[in-house]
Amino acid sequence: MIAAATIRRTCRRTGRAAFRRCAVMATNVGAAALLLLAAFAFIPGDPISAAAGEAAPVQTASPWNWGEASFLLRFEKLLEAVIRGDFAFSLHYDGVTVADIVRQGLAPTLILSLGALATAAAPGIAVGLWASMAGPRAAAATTVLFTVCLSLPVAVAAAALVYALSIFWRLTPTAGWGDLPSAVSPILALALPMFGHIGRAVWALAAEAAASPHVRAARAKGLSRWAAARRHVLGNIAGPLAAHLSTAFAALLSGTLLVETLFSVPGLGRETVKATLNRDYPVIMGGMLTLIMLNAVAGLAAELLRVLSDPRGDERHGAVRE
Amino acid sequence: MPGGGVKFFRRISVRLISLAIVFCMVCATAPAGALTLRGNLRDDIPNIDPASFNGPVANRLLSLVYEGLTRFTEDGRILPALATAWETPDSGRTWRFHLRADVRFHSGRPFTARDVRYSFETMLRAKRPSFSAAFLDRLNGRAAFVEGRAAALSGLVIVDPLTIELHFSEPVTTFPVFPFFIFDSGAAADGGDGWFNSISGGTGPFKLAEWRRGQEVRLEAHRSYWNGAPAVQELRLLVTSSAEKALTMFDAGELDFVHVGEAAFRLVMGDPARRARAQLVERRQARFLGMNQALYPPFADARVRAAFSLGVDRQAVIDGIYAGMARTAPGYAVSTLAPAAAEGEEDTKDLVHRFDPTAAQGLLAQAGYPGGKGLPPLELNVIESSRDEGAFYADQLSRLLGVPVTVRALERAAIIAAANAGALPFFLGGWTADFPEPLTYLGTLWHSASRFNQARRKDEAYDGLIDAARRTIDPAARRRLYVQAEKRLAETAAAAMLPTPFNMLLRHERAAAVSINAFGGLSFATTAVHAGP
Repeated sequence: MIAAATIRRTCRRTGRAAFRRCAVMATNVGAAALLLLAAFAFIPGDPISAAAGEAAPVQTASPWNWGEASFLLRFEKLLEAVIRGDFAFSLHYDGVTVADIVRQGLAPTLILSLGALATAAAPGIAVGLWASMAGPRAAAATTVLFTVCLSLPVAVAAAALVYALSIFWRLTPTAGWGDLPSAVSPILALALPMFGHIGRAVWALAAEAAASPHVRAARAKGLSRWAAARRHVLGNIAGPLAAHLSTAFAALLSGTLLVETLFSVPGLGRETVKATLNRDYPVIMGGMLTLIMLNAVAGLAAELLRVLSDPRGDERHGAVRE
Repeated sequence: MPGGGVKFFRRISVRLISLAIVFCMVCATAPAGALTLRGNLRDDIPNIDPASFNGPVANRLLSLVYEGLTRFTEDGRILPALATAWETPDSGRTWRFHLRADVRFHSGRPFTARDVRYSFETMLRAKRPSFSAAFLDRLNGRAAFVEGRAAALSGLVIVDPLTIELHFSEPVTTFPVFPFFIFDSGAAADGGDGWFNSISGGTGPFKLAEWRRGQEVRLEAHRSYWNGAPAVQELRLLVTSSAEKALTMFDAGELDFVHVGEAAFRLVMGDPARRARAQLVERRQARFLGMNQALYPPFADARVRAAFSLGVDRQAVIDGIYAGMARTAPGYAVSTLAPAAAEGEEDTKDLVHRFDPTAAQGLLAQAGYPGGKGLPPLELNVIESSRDEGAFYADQLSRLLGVPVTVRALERAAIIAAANAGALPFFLGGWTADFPEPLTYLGTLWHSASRFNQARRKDEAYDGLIDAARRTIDPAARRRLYVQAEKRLAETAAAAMLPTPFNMLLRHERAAAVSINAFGGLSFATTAVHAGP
């Protein structure tokens, strides 16, 4: 009976949070999309002729075939395309729809960013927790480690990884995609700076929790340092940590633009960068909108995880501890 | 209570680990076979439709899969391909081709005259026709067919299954040299629109096995190729948009051969290990500083154009930017694209200016711009990959001649689109030869009726010479007309011709069967196989 009531309560709580977050997400995505549309509608000239390059311009029924149409007319055409979710065809790849390009690019990008998140989060959380419970010398050493990692530019990390893993030890290919070894370097290049970010955040969150009376009491009762951290600290910081991980995921998504280009990974990031160089406006737009949506979904997931992991529930004030 | 956090993270990590395991299982790949060679494609390809325009990289790739009626050697000889013989009874107005018997498409279907008709008709009606469509401009009934007024091309007559006749409205004396892709008329029936994405419809030495957009093209040897199967079983060509990446992959042994662009020559020549693996051939390409008289009035004066040409130090560019791996041709086209002059015939010599700043300054002064005074500011438009070279010319023209020149570098498609539209006053132009005949440059770049006359040059005397050459069937007489046309270009200082970098291919020992030719295409040995160490 108690279990059933708890589940009911959790569902209600989660549902409320989900609804609220969805409303925020829809507003954010809508605002971002409108800004993006306005930016695209400002582009001078005709995108189709610009992309055609050496070949003669082609007349198609694409929403991008706007010739010298006015800003408002262009905006209207684009808005219609967004609402229908159909950006028609790529201007660079003949006969390939934007939807196809986005669909094919999504898997590598998600694998890279989720893989990097997992790779960075597990050691980041462990080292951060340990640092918060350890003595001042260990804390100083970890500060150096975290700072070095988080100030490492992704491009530098990528170059170092290629040299070490691909050229020196010949363990992984320098670029490409399709098997596990080819995913190692890009995931590590993304994860290395993120490890520093997550570690430092966990440390900051945990240090505060570790100093609280109930943790000190637990330690005084003889609980080991690690057990106290696991049972009493980690639980307390789970909510803010989930929020932090969602921000980290968003940062990793933007990171894929560079990493996928450097490692020739056929993901959404590289497609978007390539589309920018090819002036393939429909693909840029589709790619950007998808990345915005992914960001919003990550935000939503973080919110739900926060609610689920927080025993006090969704109420911000006056919550009763069960 | 607090333990909830631990459980939550445990749950998440279990999911992430299972995701990683599934990923590993999905992504397992087979190791490469001994006869598989891995190379690079210097740029991404927009489509693999043999009937459509798809840019130079895709065109060279598709020439391994599809063939034309004839083929040409690097020294400009025309050899039989899908046609074994050809003749013209009326000096170029009619061309009759005798097709090769016993040629089979990759599908196994026999090749016949019907496929030639199908290929030409598909190409002419393509949304974005292949460059070769222009070679059929004067074919009878072309306009009616393209506009849909006729169901078939009246100028193309199938005499029998292995003989076709082409009838033109005026003589097209160089028709046999023009490259085409002939494809399987049964392929569209099998694969519908877009058949070329999944079906290999050519007769060439390689079959198209797979195209992963933006990543890789996989080709397999066509074992029953009429001219001998290539000494390579499989070719995997990876799209490497950056030269540095391709070179790193080559160093790591992940690529067996790499086609290197000129922007990366110094990276190769400065490294003894790479240098030892480089194959270099002279490239058939015309490069020039284009000067549009309509958009920059001082260019209307030939002395100003000549001064610009005299003011660029070509040897410094060859040594400093291309590590010595480039050459300035002595003329505009004949010296590189026509057979050597016969005894007693006039030859092309010294038509391109040598660096002479004093003469350049003198000419500018004569034209009324002493020390460059009075010349409006000028922007040199270059493709991104030629930025260094452009900057060098701009600096030289500013310093030596006092011309206020700056550089604007844009991506390839933008520069080419603007140049073709005649919208650039001053630009670094280039044209890779489509076939071994001076007409490929002379008729395309400088004839006033050409849509690629990027400098918008107008010279009736020159146009007359080129039109006459087009009508002249005798090669020696045609050569004389080309030489005259070239001289006319030099007299009028049509452009500042520039050095042309070589074509460079790096190859490991196991890829010794591969070589690069003057037109930038890959050639494959058909006999000995190098299995590598």
